[in-house]
Amino acid sequence: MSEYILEAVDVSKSFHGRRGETTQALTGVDFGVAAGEMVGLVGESGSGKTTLTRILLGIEQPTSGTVRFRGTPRDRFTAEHRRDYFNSVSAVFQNPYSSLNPRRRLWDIITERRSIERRAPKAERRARAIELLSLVSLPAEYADRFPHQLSGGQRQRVAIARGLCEDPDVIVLDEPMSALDVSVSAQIANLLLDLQEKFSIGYIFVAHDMHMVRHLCHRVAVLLKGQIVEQGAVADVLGNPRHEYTRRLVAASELRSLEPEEERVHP
Amino acid sequence: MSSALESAPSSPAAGRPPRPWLRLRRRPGRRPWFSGTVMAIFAFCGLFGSVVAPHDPDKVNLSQALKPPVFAGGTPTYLLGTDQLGRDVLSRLLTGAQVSFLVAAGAVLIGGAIGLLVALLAGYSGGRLDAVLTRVADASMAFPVVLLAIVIVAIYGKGVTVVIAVLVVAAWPQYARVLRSEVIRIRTQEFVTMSRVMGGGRFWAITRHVVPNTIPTLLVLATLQIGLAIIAEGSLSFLGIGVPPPAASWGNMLADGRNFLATAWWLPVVPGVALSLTVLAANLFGDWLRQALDPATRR
Ligand SMILES: Nc1ncnc2c1ncn2[C@@H]1O[C@H](COP(=O)(O)OP(=O)(O)O)[C@@H](O)[C@H]1O
Ligand SMILES: [Mg+2]
Repeated sequence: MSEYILEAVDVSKSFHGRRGETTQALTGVDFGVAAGEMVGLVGESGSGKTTLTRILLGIEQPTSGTVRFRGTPRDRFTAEHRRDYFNSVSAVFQNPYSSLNPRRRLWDIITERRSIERRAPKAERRARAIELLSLVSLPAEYADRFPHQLSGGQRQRVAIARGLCEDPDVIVLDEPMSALDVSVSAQIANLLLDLQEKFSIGYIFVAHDMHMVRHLCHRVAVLLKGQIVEQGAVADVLGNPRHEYTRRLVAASELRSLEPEEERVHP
Repeated sequence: MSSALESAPSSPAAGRPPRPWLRLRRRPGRRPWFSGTVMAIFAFCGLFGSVVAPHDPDKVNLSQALKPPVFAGGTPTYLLGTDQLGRDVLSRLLTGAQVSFLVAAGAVLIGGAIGLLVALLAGYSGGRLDAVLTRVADASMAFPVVLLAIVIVAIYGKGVTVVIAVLVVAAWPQYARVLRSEVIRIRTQEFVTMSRVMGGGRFWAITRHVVPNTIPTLLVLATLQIGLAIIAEGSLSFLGIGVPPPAASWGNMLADGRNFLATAWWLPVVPGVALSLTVLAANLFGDWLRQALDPATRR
């Protein structure tokens, strides 16, 4: 039994298109996150990072292989496991403009999990939301605002607050900074680091370059066309890449860090 | 026309402000005074028309026949004059508003509800069911409303319920088509995916996320459909396959009054103006609603 809280074991995934063609998005992936660990997942766009996180989050079913949570495969979950899983595994997505329901107030968005789980009283949910807002350095009076009144960086803070609501053990962060400009994404990175120190949450941090990963993570896995080509401690993998592809990613991220003002466009 | 279009790109139009009428419609914060007022009056008359009517709308009084409206030399007893049977035009207009309102509300609510349900079913099922539903909606839309009305009237006879049923059959595909793509757009947004990550099921996603976010579109469609429903009631009654006379409806008043255009102009003009104003207001209100709801809800 491994020490991972959440892990993919020998996971493959293929998508079937309209015209009968298949895309092999993942092939035999072993990947996991341990308690309090920050693990990076890097690879060029289209390499399968999002697909892997969606499988870990249970939004997508693997074609073969299993997802285990505290050692139990997903398909053997009891109601008890499921509740534990939904409270312990959380996520922050890429696009803060589509990750908040535009018709809900922030307190309601942040504590959505509580109203899914049980009819929690509104006062309790609001109080929790205000606590969480202060954790992500947003003023308490934002609780009654709507998402469109916020900037991209503030929205991403709200998404992080929602991710923290049930004191999770793992948060999946799928390129949480890629829609933000450079200075804002640095603030979000620092916030994530602070929260990690405070609560020692396990992070799965997805990025398409290695820059943030070097800054944030303990361990990193490199995805190429749906396969993990290299995985290990950040210092080893990024300092002494064995795979040609990793070397190219590192070189590319160093080029980018020389031009910090360059506009990042994510496909 | 075409030369003006062709010359447009070469002229330095880029920095110029848009033409006034364009700007007028887009100016933020404009209140829909005209359309809002007319819609409010219509709703009031639609709900309480027969209560506030000064006379019995069906009371025949031949000694008072064909009195002109008060502003055209008539008496204050009959503010909008009387028809060939001496019935009070204002009272008929007000009770007729109830028919129009009932028809519009029925068609909009039932048609909208069916359209939304079909849109959710199609947008969530995908695959074959989606294809079938889309095909059915397209087919229903291609079917001519008047022909449909004739068939239904031939089977069930005339009545307000039949008019509403015809309009529902004509209207639901319009909602379904637009709302289906809305449902698909919304259900793939990250906040819906996130609700699944948090353990929310399909019912949760639909009731909390998808349906509330279709409401702006639904409202805009509904206001536009109000205008169409009122016109359709008028047309069907005018053709004699709508609300059966002697019940007052705007379409019946138009149909009765058309022979008097030369001698008693107010008989066709009064219901005609009421109908046109209401439809115009409904459409303007729908336009305003679309613009007012857009910026806040789409990002
Ligand atoms: N729902 C889907 N249907 C079909 N193909 C998909 C789907 N999701 C992802 N893919 C394909 O799987 C591959 C991996 O995509 P993704 O996981 O989004 O990569 P990344 O996040 O690394 O950019 C891509 O080739 C993509 O086109
Ligand atoms: Mg991705």
